[in-house]
Amino acid sequence: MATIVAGFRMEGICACVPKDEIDNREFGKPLFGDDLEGIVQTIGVLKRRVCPEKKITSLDLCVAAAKTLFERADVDPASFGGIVFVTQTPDRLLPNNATYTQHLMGFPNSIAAFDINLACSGYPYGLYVAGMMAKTMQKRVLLLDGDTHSHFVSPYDKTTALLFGDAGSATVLAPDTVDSSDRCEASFLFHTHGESRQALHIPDGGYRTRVNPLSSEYQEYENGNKRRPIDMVMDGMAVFDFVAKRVPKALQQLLDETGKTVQDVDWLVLHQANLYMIKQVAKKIKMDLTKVPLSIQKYGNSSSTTVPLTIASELASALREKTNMILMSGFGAGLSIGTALLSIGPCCCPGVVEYDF
Amino acid sequence: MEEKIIQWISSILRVSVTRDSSRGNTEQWDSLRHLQIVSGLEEEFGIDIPIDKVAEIVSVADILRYAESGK
Repeated sequence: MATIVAGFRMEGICACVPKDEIDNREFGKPLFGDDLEGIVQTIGVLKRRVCPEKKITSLDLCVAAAKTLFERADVDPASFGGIVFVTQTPDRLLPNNATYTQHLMGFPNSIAAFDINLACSGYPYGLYVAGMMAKTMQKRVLLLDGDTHSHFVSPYDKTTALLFGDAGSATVLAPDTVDSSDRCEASFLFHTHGESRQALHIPDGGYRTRVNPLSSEYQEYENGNKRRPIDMVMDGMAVFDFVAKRVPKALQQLLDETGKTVQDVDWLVLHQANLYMIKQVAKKIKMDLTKVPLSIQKYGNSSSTTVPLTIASELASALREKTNMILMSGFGAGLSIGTALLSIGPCCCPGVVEYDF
Repeated sequence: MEEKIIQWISSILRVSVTRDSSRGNTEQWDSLRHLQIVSGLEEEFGIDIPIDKVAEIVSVADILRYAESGK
């Protein structure tokens, strides 16, 4: 059943991508040969941005997005009560990214700071947690969402080689002081299918199987795919079937439980997993494709960051100008789905900046 | 129509397929190619396979049956 939260609103959103761009029509030639164009057209990832490894991290991208947003929105760091950082690619396993963000952003010590470990479903979860904090603390909360999944994808594994890009984002949530029918309401729905964790996982590097001398050695699997135990393993059909059967239902359930229809929705922002999947999910709930913004062609799949990145990239002017009813869904590793419906804007949205700090 | 579809699937998979070919017995038929096939079926032949049926299509025979009856 949907959880409805009133009492917070979005004050601003910004995204940041690294400058380095990969053109899949070049990158994929050795792996796919003459099949490349058909595959690129189906998945929709023409280009993607990647961080130079060990030089730029999700922390850097998110802090750059936050600093840009703070400059444009003119917000006082002392007015913040919390930092929530959604990432699966932190600088270090210990401590987390959020606590160091407090230092980097010049926030007061009297602030709550923690990470949320979620993949592609992460942004709706982040909005829920950070929104609840803004409401109950009566202070602003900074939601950062960034990932650099390109680092644990094997360039020799056809299933994942062309998909992943890196990005960071910053969202400022504030307590909503409006006490009327105009008050912002956000509705959330979450689903978890932990029995399917093998569908999308990284075998080594956690505490079940520590990094060991074999972790960095490539091994050959089905269809000639090669990857290391520290690279992502994806059962493409299992993930697709999960999304196909669960995500349209979750979106429809949230609409039904909030008394809304697709006609009430200005934008459907879906996790940018692959182009065919996005179009099919939208089609299943009868959403006009002109209301489904896409950023996958230029940025690829940046895990949980695709939702805020798509909003900042494709809806910046709409967010600056008016109130938008946005239905969103993030879905992926876990397997996990986060679905949200909320009105956003008018608010500060500088769009997408390139990392240059 | 049936022959055209079989030829077209062969061109996507770059291997000669028959009615009996399936994801299980055709190494080239991986998940990416599967999406390429189901998305191409709509563009090339007007065969629209709903998203929740995509994973249930596992063979050329399944595709031909879908093309014939729509389910």
